Amino acid sequence: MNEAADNLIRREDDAFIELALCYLDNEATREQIEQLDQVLKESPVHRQQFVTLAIQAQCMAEAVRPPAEAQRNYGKLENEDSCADVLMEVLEIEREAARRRAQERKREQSASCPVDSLDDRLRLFLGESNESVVPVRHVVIPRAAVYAVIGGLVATAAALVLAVYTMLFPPEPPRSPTIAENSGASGPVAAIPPAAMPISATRLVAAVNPQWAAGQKQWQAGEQLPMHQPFELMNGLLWLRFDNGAEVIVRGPARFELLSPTTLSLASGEVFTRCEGPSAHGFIVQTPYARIVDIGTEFGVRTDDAGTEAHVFSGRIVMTSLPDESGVASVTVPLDAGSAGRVTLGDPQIRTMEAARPTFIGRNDFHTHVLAESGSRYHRAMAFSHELRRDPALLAYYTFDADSMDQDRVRNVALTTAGRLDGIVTGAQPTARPVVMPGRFEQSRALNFTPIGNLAAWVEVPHDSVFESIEELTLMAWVRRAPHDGGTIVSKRASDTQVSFQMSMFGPQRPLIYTNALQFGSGNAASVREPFVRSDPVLENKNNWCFVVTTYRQGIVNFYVDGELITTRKAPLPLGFCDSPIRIGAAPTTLRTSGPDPFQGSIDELAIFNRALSPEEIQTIYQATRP
Amino acid sequence: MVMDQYTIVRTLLRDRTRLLAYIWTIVHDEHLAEDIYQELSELVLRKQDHFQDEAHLLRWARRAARFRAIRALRQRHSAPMLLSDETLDLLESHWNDADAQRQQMPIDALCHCLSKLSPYARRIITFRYVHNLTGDSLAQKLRRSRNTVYVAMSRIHRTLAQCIRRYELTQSRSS
Repeated sequence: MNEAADNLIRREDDAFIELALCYLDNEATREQIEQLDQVLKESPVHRQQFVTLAIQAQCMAEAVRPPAEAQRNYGKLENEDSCADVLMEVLEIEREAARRRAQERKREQSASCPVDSLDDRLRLFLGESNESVVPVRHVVIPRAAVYAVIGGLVATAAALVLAVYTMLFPPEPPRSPTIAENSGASGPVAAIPPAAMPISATRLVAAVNPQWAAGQKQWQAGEQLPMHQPFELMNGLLWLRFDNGAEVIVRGPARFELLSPTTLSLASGEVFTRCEGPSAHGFIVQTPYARIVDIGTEFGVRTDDAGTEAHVFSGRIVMTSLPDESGVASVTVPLDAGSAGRVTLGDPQIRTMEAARPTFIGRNDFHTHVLAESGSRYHRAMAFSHELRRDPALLAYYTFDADSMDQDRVRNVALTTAGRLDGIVTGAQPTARPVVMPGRFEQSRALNFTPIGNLAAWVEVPHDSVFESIEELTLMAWVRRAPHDGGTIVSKRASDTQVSFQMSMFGPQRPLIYTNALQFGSGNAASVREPFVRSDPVLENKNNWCFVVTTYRQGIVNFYVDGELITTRKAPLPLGFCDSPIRIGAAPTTLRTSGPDPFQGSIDELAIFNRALSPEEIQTIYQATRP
Repeated sequence: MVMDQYTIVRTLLRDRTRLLAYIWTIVHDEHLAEDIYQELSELVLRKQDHFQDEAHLLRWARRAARFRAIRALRQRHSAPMLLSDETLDLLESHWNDADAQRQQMPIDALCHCLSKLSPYARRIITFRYVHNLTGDSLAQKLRRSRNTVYVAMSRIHRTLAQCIRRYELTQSRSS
């Protein structure tokens, strides 16, 4: 009797699930929907079953996705701090997918979608070698990214995708030559696992203000880029996704070409590459000087007429210098995370150095540029900062943001001197150690100095040869001084009379001539006061963040506050020189001073240029970076 | 106290599956559901000062999603086929329960239970969820009638649900 009742219940359950699935698949007739509606109204049990079924079906749909996507997006979420950026990516990708779906809807439903790589795998799985599988609605990769991102927030979701996918699609034997065979490389490259068989071309996922060279097609996001065709991007950013899962961000100006579904040739410019997942391993960036082969990693490549640099941010790459015309043998070097290699014209040796992550536009930076377009002041400032780093006159640049801070180390993010001029927090620690605090934007960071009298700590940057032949100078920073006083923002000074440069900002508690003024100093002088000049006292109400700049050019010192020229003074001396280290947040204690005159307050975006920026440039920087 | 942006984003990501499933039950078109979810996420971020906690956000998001879903259906069809307002209202408490339980598919259980399916069932799952075949297309591919395929699908889902419950029970006992 019980068994009969169970069977009856089971049959009813099956009928309900069948009806619900039919409805969810958009296959139900009006009558069936009315029937479903009626059942749901009457039965709380079926309502519960309906909700559970919808969630279960949604999970099923998310589960069966290619593993490369899952792994890539799982990687994104290991650091939850990047969560917001991931969502921005999700939204951007979904927007693109929605646009594509809208286009697809316009086409006739009878139009067949191209058979994708899943079909090949499916045939193997089903053992149907000749059966054609034509999906009615093509599963676009962005959806998979989105699914995996969301599932990945509970970290094991990626494992689910992988596990389910692996179960449904057992690995097939390699059907193409390995990358090592393709590239002709030897040594460590030979150990690289085979890449997936390419099916379709590389897709331009997104672009930010792309300016293509004259006469070239204006490629748009969503389009597939053909192989063996040179591309010249004059400006802007491109986000490319290769079939094997590799993602590449190209920063203009750049000239590049897609040599194969797993190889990008970069004639000039800069790319950032992320190759997560086994299928993306073996991705190659080839330049005129070197070939860089990924082994599951994140790396940047920059190349110009002088040579090629490859910077590894995670995982490992193999860099091989290409033989030059003289036939000098090439060199192959594996590079691990945190290191970089450089090959220069006429020298096949690979010189290793420290990787400089902040000088590249990565995925989060790409989103920053996207969001800058929508008018967010913070993202606009960050995007501008990325461009500023490439100014050839920029000698040193300290943003104090998370990507440029490593405990006591403060990274210089200026491109021309990247890897050098990093600072170290020193001085009276821990008593007066500067701390990282929110900057002028909630999301940004600044260094806050809280000296106790003259008991101070500062950031010390070693002397570098780039400071030895300067004829012009700009010192620039965002600062928020304490209400009563400021102090030394940046100083490079050996003694009272030997001053490379110094910029200070004073508050109301200083003697009259210093009160609320900016001070600039440089020169090799006979007396202590001679190297210094001060602005008019215009800083009375500047207890909040303000943008201070001093420039020196041909004996003239200009003082700017918040983008406006406030005072022009004749410099008492030509620019001075000393080989002392730079101090950020304090000056050296000298014979005539009672202490380091430490800065009291916060400093952000400190930059040093070897030319005097024009008033227009300073106004532009202020407008682009102000809160 | 309002939620910070980080928590909002985290909630949107973590609860995406359920939100998508919710929208799907209204529009019964998974691609349209994704479009609406995307609009919804942008809307939530624009209104980020509005939310007091996660439960508030999710309730608000479902109301907004329901409104947008119905509007989208009406834009597409002069006489859209919808569940009644009364039914959607009745379902709301079950969605709230699912929120409270953070109802998700247990990963290991799903893997385990999928592996227990017959080759034919796995074939159906593959066609349905990998290739997005539904209705007649799915029936044609499987060389079965449409009705037979839906009967099979319903059995697969029921079997999976039972298997998952058993698996979880076993796991909880063993731990």
